[in-house]
Amino acid sequence: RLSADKAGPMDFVGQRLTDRLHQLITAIFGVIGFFYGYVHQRFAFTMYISMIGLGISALLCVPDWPFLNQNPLKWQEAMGDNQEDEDEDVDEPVVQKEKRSGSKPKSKGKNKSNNKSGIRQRRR
Amino acid sequence: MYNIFVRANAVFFYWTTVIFFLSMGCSVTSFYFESNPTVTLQLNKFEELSYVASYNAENALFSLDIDADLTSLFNWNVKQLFVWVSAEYETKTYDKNQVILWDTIVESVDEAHILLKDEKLKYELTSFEKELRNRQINLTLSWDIMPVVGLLKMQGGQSSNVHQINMPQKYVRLPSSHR
Repeated sequence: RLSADKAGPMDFVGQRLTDRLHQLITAIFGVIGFFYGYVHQRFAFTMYISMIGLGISALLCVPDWPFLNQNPLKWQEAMGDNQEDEDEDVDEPVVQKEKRSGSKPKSKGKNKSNNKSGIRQRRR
Repeated sequence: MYNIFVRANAVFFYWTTVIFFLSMGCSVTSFYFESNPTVTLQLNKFEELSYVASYNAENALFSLDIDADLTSLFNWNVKQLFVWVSAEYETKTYDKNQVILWDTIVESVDEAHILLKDEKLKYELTSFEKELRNRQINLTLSWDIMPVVGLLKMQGGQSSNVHQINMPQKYVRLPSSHR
């Protein structure tokens, strides 16, 4: 599953596009409907035109169209079953805790190579 | 927006929010407006004034000519008009008696000009004080505007010219009575 081209029905670029597109379409048809209804002095026209906007934005944004799934996430390739890599950092967290009992860590995110939290890092 | 249901929910309820603001705009833009309705009420024929023994009251029946041009009352915030004809009279017991004799609902501008000849009363003029003989009765046409967005009893009005009818001195039932 991780190595598939399309991970889901819609990728993040498509989701952002649908989010903005439906808001824009509904709002524009709402404004058009407001002025049309005011000119003709019938609120029914405002409702009908805004419903047309709802229909168009629902048609374009709700179903899983292929044009919204054009930017799939590029997942990393799956790692093989390498025993050395898995056992590498197992002992480190135990040792590091005794050292750091009284002092605070100086920089939290700067040194990526000095990983004391136990997250396994993959070597490229 | 990762799921079809999430997107459908977002699209639909954003539309309801847009409709909310449009309705507020509709209500605000129609708050002050001028209208000039013209009303003419006339008695067509008097039918009867009689004593009804079964509920111990006096009954009066007649028919009216109604000519009411209410088209200027309509704006885009009007759902419908409720129009009625009421009779007002004074008795020894009470200063003001009001009885609704006829009503209708006007739902669009096309039906707003009411032109009726020989329109029978929908509801009889019934008086339990039994003092209708020789009484002067004032007929008025009034209306209530029911808005699309707004409080229900926001605007109402009535005709400026009031039509007067004089009740006969004795009980009478003419052949034109429909009862």
